[in-house]
Amino acid sequence: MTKIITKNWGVKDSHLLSVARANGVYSNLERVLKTPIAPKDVVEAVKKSGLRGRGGAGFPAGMKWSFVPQNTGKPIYLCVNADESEPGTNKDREILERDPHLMIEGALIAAWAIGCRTVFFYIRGEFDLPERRIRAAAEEAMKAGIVGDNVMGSGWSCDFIVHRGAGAYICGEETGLISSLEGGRGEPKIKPPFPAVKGAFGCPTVVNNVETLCAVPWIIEHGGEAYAKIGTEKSPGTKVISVSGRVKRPGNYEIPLGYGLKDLIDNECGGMQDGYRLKAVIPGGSSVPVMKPEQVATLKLDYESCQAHGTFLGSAGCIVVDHTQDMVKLLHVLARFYSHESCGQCTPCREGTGWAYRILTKIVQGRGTKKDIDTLRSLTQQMDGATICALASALVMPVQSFLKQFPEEFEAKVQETVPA
Amino acid sequence: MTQPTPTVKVNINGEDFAVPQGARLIDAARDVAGVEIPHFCYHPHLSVAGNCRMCAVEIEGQRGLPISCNTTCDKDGMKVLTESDRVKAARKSVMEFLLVNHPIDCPICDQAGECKLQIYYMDHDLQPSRLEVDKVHYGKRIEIGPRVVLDQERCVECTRCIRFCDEVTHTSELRMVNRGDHNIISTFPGTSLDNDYSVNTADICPVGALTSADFRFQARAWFLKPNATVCPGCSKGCNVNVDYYDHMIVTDHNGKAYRLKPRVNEAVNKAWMCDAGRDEYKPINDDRVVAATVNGTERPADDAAIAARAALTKAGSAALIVTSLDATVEEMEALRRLGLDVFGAVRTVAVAVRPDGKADALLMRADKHPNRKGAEWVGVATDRKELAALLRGKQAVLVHRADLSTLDADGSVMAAFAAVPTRVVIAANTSPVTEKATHLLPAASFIEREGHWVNEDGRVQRMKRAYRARKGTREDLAFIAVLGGGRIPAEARTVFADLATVNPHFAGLTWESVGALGALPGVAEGVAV
Repeated sequence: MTKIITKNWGVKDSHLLSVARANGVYSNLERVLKTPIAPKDVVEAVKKSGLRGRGGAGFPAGMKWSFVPQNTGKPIYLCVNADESEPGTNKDREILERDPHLMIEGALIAAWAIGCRTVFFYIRGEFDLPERRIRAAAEEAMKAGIVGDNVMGSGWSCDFIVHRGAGAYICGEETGLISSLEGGRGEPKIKPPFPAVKGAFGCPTVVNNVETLCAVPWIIEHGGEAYAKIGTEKSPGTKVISVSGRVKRPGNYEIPLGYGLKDLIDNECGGMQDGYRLKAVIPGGSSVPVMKPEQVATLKLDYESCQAHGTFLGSAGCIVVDHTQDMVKLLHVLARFYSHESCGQCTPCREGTGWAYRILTKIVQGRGTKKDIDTLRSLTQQMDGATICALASALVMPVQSFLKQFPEEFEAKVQETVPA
Repeated sequence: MTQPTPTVKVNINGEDFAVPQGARLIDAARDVAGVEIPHFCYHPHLSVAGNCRMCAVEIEGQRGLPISCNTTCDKDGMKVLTESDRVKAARKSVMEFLLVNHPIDCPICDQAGECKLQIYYMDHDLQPSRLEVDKVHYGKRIEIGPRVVLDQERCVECTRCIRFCDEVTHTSELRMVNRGDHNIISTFPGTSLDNDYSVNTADICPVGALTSADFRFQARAWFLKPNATVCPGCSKGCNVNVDYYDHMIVTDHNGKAYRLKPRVNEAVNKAWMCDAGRDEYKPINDDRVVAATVNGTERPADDAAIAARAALTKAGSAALIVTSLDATVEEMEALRRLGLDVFGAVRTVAVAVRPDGKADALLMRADKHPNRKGAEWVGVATDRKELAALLRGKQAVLVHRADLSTLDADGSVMAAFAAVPTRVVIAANTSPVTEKATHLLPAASFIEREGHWVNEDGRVQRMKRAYRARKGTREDLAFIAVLGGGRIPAEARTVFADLATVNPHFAGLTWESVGALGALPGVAEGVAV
C-alpha cells in the first residue's frame, strides 16, 4: 500500500530536520519555488488530485484554495488546523510528533499556491509533545532558511507562526479557530462571510487540516493524476485512520480510501483482543452515527460508502466498541463531552447538549423513564442543523444512532414512570 | 440630489415587495412587508450575532432554515416564508430550549409584561415544559454596575449588552464567560459596568437579565404608558418615552412618571440615551410646587395669578421677565410678547440655570439645557452675567422656571432678586427662588404640558403632554395668559402658529409637520439653518 503521510514514520528521529531532508522532505517545496511552479498550477494539481479535507468535512482542498480572492489588497492567511480534539481521532498528533517537517513543507506549498505570506499554525492546547516538535521543527527550518525570509533562496518569504490554543474542541471548527486566533472567545462565526473572503483578522483565509497539507508534497512530486489513482474515484488518496478500543494493535494506519473497515480491524489491527467480541464501531470520530457488526462487515473506509451506510468518514477516528461496553454509559460520556465543549452561543446547542447530558445522567443513574428517551430523541432532532456550526449535530448523530441501533439497552435502564 | 436606493424584488409569504437592495431580510420584512420576524439577539443598531436562532425563515432553494438577520436582500427573486410549518416548528423549538434553564420567575421579574420570552412563548410556543431534570443555577441580583442589576439565570445569552458596550460606548466592560449552558454574562474581575450609557443594556436586554437598578420593583410594565417626548437633560434633545402611570392608577396626582427610555430617532440619538438623562423623571414627581401663594398665603391659582398681574402691571416698564433655557419656544415667545405688548417695553431674558457638564462624542452635551437654540431663535437668550445688573432697580420681576440661585457664586443675583419688591415666580419645582416669591404660581412639569424645544442642531422637537397638570398646578402658558389679561394665547398650538408666521426661524412649520421625530425648519426649502 502506498504510504504518503506516514512514509517516514519508521525512520529513527524522523522529526529532525537532517533526517527529514534525507527522507526527501522539502525537496518538493524546493522544486515548486525554484522551477518555479506557478501558484495556479499548484492549485490545479491539487484540484486534479481530488484531495479532500481530512479534518472531517471532506471538502475538496483545491477548490477551497481557488475561492481565495487575489485582488483585495489585504494579506492572505493560511491557518493550519492542528486543534485535533475529536474523541477517537489522534492522527494529527502522531503526524506532528513523527514528521513535523512534512507538515511545514505542505503548509508552505499551500501558502505559495494561495499567495499567503503568513501561516498560522493553530495547535490544540493539550498537545504537549506535538507542540514542542512543531516549534522545534519551525525553529530548525527557520535557521536553515526554509521558513521566514527568502525561503530556500527563492526570494519568496513566508512566516510560520505557532499559536497554541487554550483547550477547546470548538476551535477545531474553522471559524472558531479564527476567532480564537484573533484573541477572542473560541466561537464559530456566522457565514456569510466565509473565511475565504473575510477570515482571520478580516482578511482572506484558508483553513486546512494537518493531514490534508501533508498530502500536498506527494501530489507535487507525483502529480495530481497519480494521487487520484489511489483510493476510489470519488474519494481519492490515502487516509490515516486512528483505531482505538479493544483490538490487538490499536493505532494510526494509513490506508487507501475505500479499504474495508473489517479488513483494517482484522488485518492491520490484528482483530479483537482475546475474549472480546465486536459490538459496534464509531467509524469517523465520536460525532458520527455508530455501526453494528453487520454494517462494519460491508463498510468501506471512504466518504461514499460511509454515507451509504448512514454514517460519515469524518476525521476517521474508529472507535471499536467491544461486547462488555454499556452503550448508554458510552453515550453519556459523549454527551458530557459535547455539552462541555459547546461554546454556548447558539440556543439549540447551548441548551440542548446540556439537557441531553442531564437526561442521560438521569438514565445512567437509574432514575430515567420511557418519557426521558422520547424527550432525548425529539430534543436532539430539534437541535439538528439549527446552529451556526456543526457541534450540535455532532451530538445529535450519536444520540439518534445509539437510540436506533441499541434501543434495548436504553429501555432496559428506564422505568415506565417516575420512581416514587 | 441623492440617488434613490435601488430596490430588489423579494417575495415574502407569497407577496412581492420592492425592498432596498442590501437590506437585511429581517428589517425588510418588518419595514416593507409589515411582517415581524421574532428575534432576540438581533438589534438594528448593533452588529449581527446570529446566535439566538429565533429569526430563522424558509428561503426557497436554500438548505435548512437560514437566519433572516444575516440574510441580505441582494438580488431579485428571493422567496421567503416566515410562517410555514417548518419555521413555526423551529421557533417553538428555540423557545423550548431558551426556557430549559430559565427560572420562569415572571411574578417577581421586573421585565414581566415587556419580556420577549413571555411574548414569544404566547405567540410561538405555548406548550408545557418537558424538562424533568434540574436547571443550571447561577447568580441572582448581581450589582454588575451602579445602575444595572444582573440576573444570570434569566439571561438568554443573546450578547446584545456585550455588543452595545463594544460597539456603541467602546468601553467593553461585559464579556461572556464559561461555555455551553454554563455561559454567563460577566464583567472582568474587579471592574463593573459603569459607563455613561450603561442602562441602555437593560433596555436592549430582551429578557429580565439586566434591569435598571433605579426602576427595579417600582412599577409593573403593563400599567405603564409611554409618552413620546424629548429628554430635557441637555442640548442634544434625545428622543425618549417617559413611561408613566395615568390618572386611573395615581388618582391624586393625575399621573406619575417612572422612567425615561430612549425612543428611536436615527437623526438624533438612534436608539440610545445617557444614564444622566434617565434621572429626568424625578423632578416630575418630586419637590413640586403644588400650591399658589401670595405673600406666603395659599390662594387659588387663578386668584394668585390675577394678583400677580396687578402687581406686575403696577411696576410698568420698571420690570423684567426672566425665563430659563428649559422653557419651550412657545413660553419664551408668550413671555416676550407679554413684556412688549402687554406690559410695554419690558424685556424678557432667557438664562442658563445649570452649569456646563460632561460632554462626549456620543450623546452627552456640555450645555445641560434643552432649548438654548430656541431661546436664540425667539430672541430672548441672554448671558447669565448680565442678570444681576438687569435686576437692579426693578420694581417687579417675573421669574419663569429659572432657579436664580444656581450659577450665582457670589450671591449677587439672589441679592438683586430679593431687592425687587414684586417677585412673581412661575415654577414647577421648589428652589430658593420659590421661597422668596411674593407671588408663587405652581406650574407643570415637562410631561404635563406641550411645546417645542430646539436642539443644538436646530431640530425643532415636540414635548408632548402625558397627563393633565397635577392638582393645584397649571400649565405655564395658562398662567402667562392670565398675566397677559387675555391678550396672550393660552394654547401652545396658537403661539406656535404665530411664531411660524412672524419668526423666520420657524417659517413653514406647523404643529402637524413637526411630528414625533421633530423637524429641521428650512431644510425642505433648501435654506441653510
